[in-house]
Amino acid sequence: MDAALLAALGAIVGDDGLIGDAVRRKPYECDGLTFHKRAPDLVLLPENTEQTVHCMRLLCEAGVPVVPRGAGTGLAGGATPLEGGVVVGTARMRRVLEVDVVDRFARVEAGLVNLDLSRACATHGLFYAPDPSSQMACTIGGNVANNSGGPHCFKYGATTRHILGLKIVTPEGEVLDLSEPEVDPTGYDLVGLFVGSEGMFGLATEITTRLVPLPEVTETLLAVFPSLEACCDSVTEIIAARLEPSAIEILDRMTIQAVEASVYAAGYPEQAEAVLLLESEGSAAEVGENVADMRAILVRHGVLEERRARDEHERARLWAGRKGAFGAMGRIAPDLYVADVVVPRTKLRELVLASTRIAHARGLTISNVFHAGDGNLHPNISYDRRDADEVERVLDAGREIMKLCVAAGGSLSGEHGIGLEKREEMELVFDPPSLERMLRVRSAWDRDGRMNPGKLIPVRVCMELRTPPPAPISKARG
Amino acid sequence: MTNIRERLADLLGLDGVSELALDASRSPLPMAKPTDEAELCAVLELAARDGLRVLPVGAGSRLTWCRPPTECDLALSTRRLAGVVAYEPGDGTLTALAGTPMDVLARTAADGGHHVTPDVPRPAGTTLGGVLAGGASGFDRLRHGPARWHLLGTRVAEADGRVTTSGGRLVKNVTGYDLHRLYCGSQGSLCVILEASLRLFPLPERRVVVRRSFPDAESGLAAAWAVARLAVEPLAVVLTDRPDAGGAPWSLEIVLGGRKARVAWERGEIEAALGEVAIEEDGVARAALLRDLEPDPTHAPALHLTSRPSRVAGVLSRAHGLLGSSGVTTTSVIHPGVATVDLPLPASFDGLAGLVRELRSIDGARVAVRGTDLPEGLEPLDPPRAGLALMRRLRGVCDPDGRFATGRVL
Amino acid sequence: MDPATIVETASTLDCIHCGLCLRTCPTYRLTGIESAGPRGRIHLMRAVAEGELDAGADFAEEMNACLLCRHCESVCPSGIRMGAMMEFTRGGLEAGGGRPWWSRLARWAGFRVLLPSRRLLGLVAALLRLAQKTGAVRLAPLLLGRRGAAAPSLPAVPPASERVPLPARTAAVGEPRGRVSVLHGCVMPVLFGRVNRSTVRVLAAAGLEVRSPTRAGCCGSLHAHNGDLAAARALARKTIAAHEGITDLSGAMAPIVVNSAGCGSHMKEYGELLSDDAEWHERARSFAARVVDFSEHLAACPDEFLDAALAGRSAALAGPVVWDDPCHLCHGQGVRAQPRSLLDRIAGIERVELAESESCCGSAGIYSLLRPEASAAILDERLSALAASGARTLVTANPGCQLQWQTGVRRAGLDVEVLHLAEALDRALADGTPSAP
Repeated sequence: MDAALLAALGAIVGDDGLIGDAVRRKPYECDGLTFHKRAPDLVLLPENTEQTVHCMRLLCEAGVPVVPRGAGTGLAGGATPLEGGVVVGTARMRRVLEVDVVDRFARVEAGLVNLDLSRACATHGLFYAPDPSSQMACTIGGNVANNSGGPHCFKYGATTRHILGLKIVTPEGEVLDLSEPEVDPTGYDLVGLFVGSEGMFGLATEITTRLVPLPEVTETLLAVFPSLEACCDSVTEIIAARLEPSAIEILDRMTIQAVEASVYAAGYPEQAEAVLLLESEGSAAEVGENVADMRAILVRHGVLEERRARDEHERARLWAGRKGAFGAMGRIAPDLYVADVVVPRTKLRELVLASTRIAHARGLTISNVFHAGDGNLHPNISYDRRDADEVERVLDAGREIMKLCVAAGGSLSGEHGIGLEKREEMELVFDPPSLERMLRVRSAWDRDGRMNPGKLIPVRVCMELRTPPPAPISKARG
Repeated sequence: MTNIRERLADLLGLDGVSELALDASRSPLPMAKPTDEAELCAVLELAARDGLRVLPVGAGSRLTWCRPPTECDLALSTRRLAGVVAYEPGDGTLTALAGTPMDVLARTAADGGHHVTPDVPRPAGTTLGGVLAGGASGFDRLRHGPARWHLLGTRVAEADGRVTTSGGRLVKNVTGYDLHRLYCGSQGSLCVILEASLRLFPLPERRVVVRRSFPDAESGLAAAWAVARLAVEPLAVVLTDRPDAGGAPWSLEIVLGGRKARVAWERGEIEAALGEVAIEEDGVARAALLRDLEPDPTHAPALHLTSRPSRVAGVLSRAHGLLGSSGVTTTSVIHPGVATVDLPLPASFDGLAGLVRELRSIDGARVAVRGTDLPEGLEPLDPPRAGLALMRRLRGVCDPDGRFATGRVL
Repeated sequence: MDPATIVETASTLDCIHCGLCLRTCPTYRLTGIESAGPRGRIHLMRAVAEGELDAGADFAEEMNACLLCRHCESVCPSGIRMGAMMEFTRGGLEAGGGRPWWSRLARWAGFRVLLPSRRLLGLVAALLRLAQKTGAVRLAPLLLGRRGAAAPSLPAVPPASERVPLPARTAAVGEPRGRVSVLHGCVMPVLFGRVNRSTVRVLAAAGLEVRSPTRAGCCGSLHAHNGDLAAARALARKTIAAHEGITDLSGAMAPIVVNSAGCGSHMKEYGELLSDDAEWHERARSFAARVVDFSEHLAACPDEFLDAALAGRSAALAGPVVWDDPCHLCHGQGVRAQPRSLLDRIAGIERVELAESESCCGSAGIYSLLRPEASAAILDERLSALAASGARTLVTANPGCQLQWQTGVRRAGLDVEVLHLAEALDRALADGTPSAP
């Protein structure tokens, strides 16, 4: 990297914010997905929007690719700088700037850890609803990039339903200040479009989020099933009966055993084939009615045992087990491939079983822990990345699972994003004109394709479309 | 003009062509009414070939929500692209063609026990595509939020007649950019929506409306705040002095919906907070009446003010003051929790431009004026706060020749 | 250098890269740099193990910047053992050399000469006290330059009367109900003789006869944390031998009560430290099984023991009182509830929770001396939490933490008294008056 550019960047972010040596750059070679690796040429950790702006201007002039990074907990390789360039991290931007208790919103810096936002407003009886399993590490900025989900998104919706405004630093280093919450945007919904754009449109430095009131009553149930099939079927029926729990999660036996061996041991029965973690929120009357109806369904599907969290401590423990499940799989093998397919909720059983068959046919170890209520499956395949043949089989199984789910009316990703991992599979879901449209919309934000290059759009589509550049602004009539 | 009509008739048959009167100053536009996707794309290909400018329309109920097109050669109606493509009661999703009226969607979903949001006023006179392109949200916004939150995916026709998709039919999905969020509220300036998928909600088992009268707007708003602090989640809270609502003079109406136990509990909470209230047990009919109070700007202009919940009282009192000094007497429909104020205006009112200018000086308020034949130079909407250049580029890449809804948004 | 001598490859495989540890890591919070967090450190270790990275000075710096607070272990779903991994790596790096001569000399003097010798420690303490009293300590930066910069911030040494060793045997108050052996420690008797005496008084009041073998001194935990495994093993053997003869009233081996969380946590792992030592492995394991933290042992005593000591007595503690979890107590030993329950037995106590009480205060053994700036910055965040809690008394259970908090409280101008748990309980014995029912 050019010495003058390095010096100029260093002058902006200071010594602490510039990481140039090979050792300290190395951990930035991947995020939570360790399949693909490439260390960035440089890492910058600006402390605020202003520093970000100045860095982005210099990087724009130099024509260097920029890869935004939050906490690096993504599972699709979205923060992996596969084409080199500079990683711009938000780890030093983590202040809560404003909590408006009356109008119920918060303005925070992008690097704030998800859980810290809820903690910051708990005393006001409010919280930030999207709760990815990595919420004690992942950042709000990363959540915005991926439109992240979480168990409680079943009731509250994914990140996009909770973002009211953004302050975005554009690839050219301009500030696009859309941080003021608006009832309806005039013109196009730039905020809505930006959420889930996987760092390819710009870098959000400030985020305005909704806050929602903490529920009056929360009832958490752990239902133990003799089979994964029965567990899936009871969820399908709960959805079809239009009952409104706030979260419905399934964990299978292997996951339960891994969790129970960990610091997050939640008291899930280790001999159970599957457990269902169910939650209902609201007024006491409503929760009572809801839980009674759900329990009737559980009984119909042969539930073996139901446990009710007696207090907040027990409830937290049940959830901690669920949220630590991904990490706990480290006990089974050194690496984990987490698929993130979504399927119609009428087909849970069929597709969970088929995914398992696909993995077993390739001699792989598979476990399941997923957001059943949203139809968001996570078939998890344990492997060792030092075994090249096993890696190939894992990738092949992942592709097969995606194909199968797409064919059944499902999709590639429910919350982790496409990133590098599912990029080529985008062609399973979208035809070339649709992908071309995405690429063109991206070019309106980022003319040179410098922001997080190589993600989301299949290579073939990019190759085909390199030639005709987007129409110049002067030609567009508006 | 005749030429365009003839060419359209060649493509679509005589039934497939009619006309659309946009405003008094212009002669009506020829309107193509394709019956299927192929026909619609053929019209777009024709327009591309001949360099015609196209105004996509549904039922036309939201044409006044932004500027009329500056240049337009033909209107393209999606009304005859109607019908439910897929209603999945077990999955709680619904996919329908753009021209399907919202009341048809609501009835279809209700048969399976589902509620469609947005619950828009006068649903028989609206289409799914028009509502989404218009960026309309529903009477149920307090509970469910704006319509754009529950749009799962779209199938659209681009300016050159190609069909593309985004999102899907799944309640949770992050595959690809949310282009449908871009199209929602784009007023037909980026593409023609052909088909859209919505997330559904359980149809409330029971609906009741709790009402209380207030002598003035201030006390009504204070009561609305008291309700907002409770742990209740109404479908809507409306404060209005519309005579057809029957309150005297102001009426605060809280529309409760959900399971029976919940409604009973919420009703009790509100009674405890507000004291003497009237209960309308037939909540469905009452809610529909309240919903349809939203002014219809096709006959007379109306103001649509938005702000933040905490600012509604201030904005309202300033607006009333300004209206009073302009000599206008009007009624108000206020959704305090959503922070919207709708004010119907007299059909002919000379001081409109001046009044809107003054209203726009109110701190923290955004002012939209909806109506046909607005005075020259009166912008129906406040300008975007930021991002105009980006919006132009987005339109540039989606519609490079500037064919769709020219001048409507940018 | 053979990577296998630096990194224990197998343990790095446990990390699945989920990142749940990031927020808990004090150095990651401070810098936001991935390699300053547990996941990044393990990533680097694995890269060394797999031959992708040289274990050079940059790598050593990243490894040495870890506080070894082990907070990451408490949240790691995969059960990584950062403490053990880091000790192994630092041991490998030290064995491989690479330090400048003055650093090697300082380490030799500190770890091999000073800490193991009670007499030398006593002498240095006396000299330091003299220097502190006369103000000479302020000259150190002038004489030693940068390397003397930390001298003025060294803890104040108490007078000689407080530095006397514990008696070898202290009788129980009343009928003896049991017998325990108490670790004397190295720095404890020098800087915190009063804590040691409080520890013995409280145990005795609970009906326990207390032995304190004078042969035992430093347990070697600082050596192990800083990569001097050979010295750590030698001190472990010495500590084991010193406590071996002490039996309970029933004739079984007596519990070894430790009032310093860092030492206790280390001593509980002697089995692993000496796992390659055929002669000592079994002895180390049975010794480790006897080690209990002061709070752990006291809280596990039957209620009547404690009632005899504490029942109904209030203590001269300014309220509200917060408990600060020493890292090597909560993360190292999993002891969290016991100290809280003991404090709650003090009549009239107003205890509140300190936000993020399991976060490291930045003391971390000798980290505060080696990296004073980072240590102070880490402490600042904790001080904000302390100020926000409104506490007037902070209770902890580790000498390093106690010093760090005392320094910080003074610097921040907070009106908070910092006490060891034993001191807090001792006040309920000594000054306490039975409270009205």
